[in-house]
Amino acid sequence: MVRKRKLIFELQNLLGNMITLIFGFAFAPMMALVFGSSYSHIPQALNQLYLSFFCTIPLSMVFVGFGSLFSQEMEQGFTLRAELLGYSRVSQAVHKFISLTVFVLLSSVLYSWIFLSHFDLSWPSWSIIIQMAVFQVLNTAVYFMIVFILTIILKKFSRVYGISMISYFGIMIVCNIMGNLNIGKLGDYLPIKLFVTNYTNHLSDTGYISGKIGLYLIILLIILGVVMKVVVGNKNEHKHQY
Amino acid sequence: MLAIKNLSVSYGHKVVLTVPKLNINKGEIIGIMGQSGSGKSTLVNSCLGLVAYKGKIAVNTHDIGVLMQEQHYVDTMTNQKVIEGLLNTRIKSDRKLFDLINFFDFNSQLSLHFKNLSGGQKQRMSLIMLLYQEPTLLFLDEMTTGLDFESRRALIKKLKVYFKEHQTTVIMVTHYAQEIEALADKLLIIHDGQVKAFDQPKKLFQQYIGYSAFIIDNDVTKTVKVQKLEDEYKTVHQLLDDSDDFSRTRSSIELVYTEIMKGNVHG
Repeated sequence: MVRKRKLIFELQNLLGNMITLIFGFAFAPMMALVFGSSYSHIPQALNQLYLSFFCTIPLSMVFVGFGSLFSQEMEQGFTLRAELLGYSRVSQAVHKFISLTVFVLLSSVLYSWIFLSHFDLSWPSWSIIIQMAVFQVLNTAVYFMIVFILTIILKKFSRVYGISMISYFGIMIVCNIMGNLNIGKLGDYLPIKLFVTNYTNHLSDTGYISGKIGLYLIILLIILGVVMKVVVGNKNEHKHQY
Repeated sequence: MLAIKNLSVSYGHKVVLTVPKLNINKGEIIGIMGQSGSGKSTLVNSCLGLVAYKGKIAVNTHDIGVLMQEQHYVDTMTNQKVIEGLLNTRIKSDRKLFDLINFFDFNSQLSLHFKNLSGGQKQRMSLIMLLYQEPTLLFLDEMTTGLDFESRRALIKKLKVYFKEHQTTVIMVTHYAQEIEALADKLLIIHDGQVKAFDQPKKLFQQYIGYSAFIIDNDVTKTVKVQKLEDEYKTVHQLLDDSDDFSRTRSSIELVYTEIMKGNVHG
């Protein structure tokens, strides 16, 4: 199922895309450092800020970086060519998801190192780091499925990118990561807000586990998986697999 | 290798292609000609399952290759990385791929990005990846469109050698009669979604033209058809007396196509 050279190809593809690099790697540390300078003496505020921008990494990487890259590939017919060369859409999705996850985890480590060392904060406990990593992977999967389904349906770069950019900023505004808009309790139901609220005061705890966020994300993944199966399945109806 | 029976393709309520019966044998090279919008690419897309159709298309292989009209690969890396990534191999350790790259003179383009290639180089890169998979059935859709004369001639020359060596079954859609003359065993002419002719070019020539033909002033619409060998001398003398520039042919695809399309072309 997973071919080594194709995986390297997808990693190089992401690496060659400036939008992915800027939004996926530079956006979170840059913004966190700018906002963090105002709260440099309030540890709890810094923790909250650290987790907030930590959560934006998969969001930026997938909605902005992958959204632009994949929608252009789809519009220009590269996805179909890859199919004709033997990579089904599911196989392409698997390779793309793995490479995106690698990038998200790398960016998360880099961001954490920059933020924590700049504000002289200690690293979270190992158990929390593992939970943070799982959260990033599950979040990446959810965003990936949304963008993949959107691209398969809408096909054109302008349509996909328009919607993904609105969603990107919309999610950050609703979660109060960007701006301070009062939108009631809506943001409280989003995994990002739940994650930040639950973990801000527990970063150094070794026994703390918040299972409900993971469960919430897994339910989302199952729903999206069903939608993806329907969408990709329909689009492949008349195709030979070779 | 490929058998079509009662094929019908519709876009909305409009039927754009109907093919009652068509059989293509292993190793045959079929050239498909027709005006733009006549249904050539629709036929290829039907065989590939890319459009919905009624009827039966039986393809006797899973090793199918398709070269599409326009090529696009990612520009985020060099051509070498694109080729290695999509074929899941490495050029330096893969003799078959290395030989194909040499065969198509593509070595110097490996370090470039796809956007920097010419039309002919883009086609060759796609062909390298396609032929690497050794398809037993290959679809070529307008493979030389946009290529200059030299690139087209060079590409056809390369493909002729390759197809002969590998016994590949090829279905090629083209606007260029020279491609059919150089490569095809059979000619399929489609007009307004209907098959107008399907046979060996020589047989079609005999059926629609006769024994031979003299094309005057290099214009296929000004042609003198000859039905018997004995009549040729008389025709030549006549043409020489008239001081016309002319050429003799017993196989011109362009002439066959023009003759078959007479009365079919609107406007």
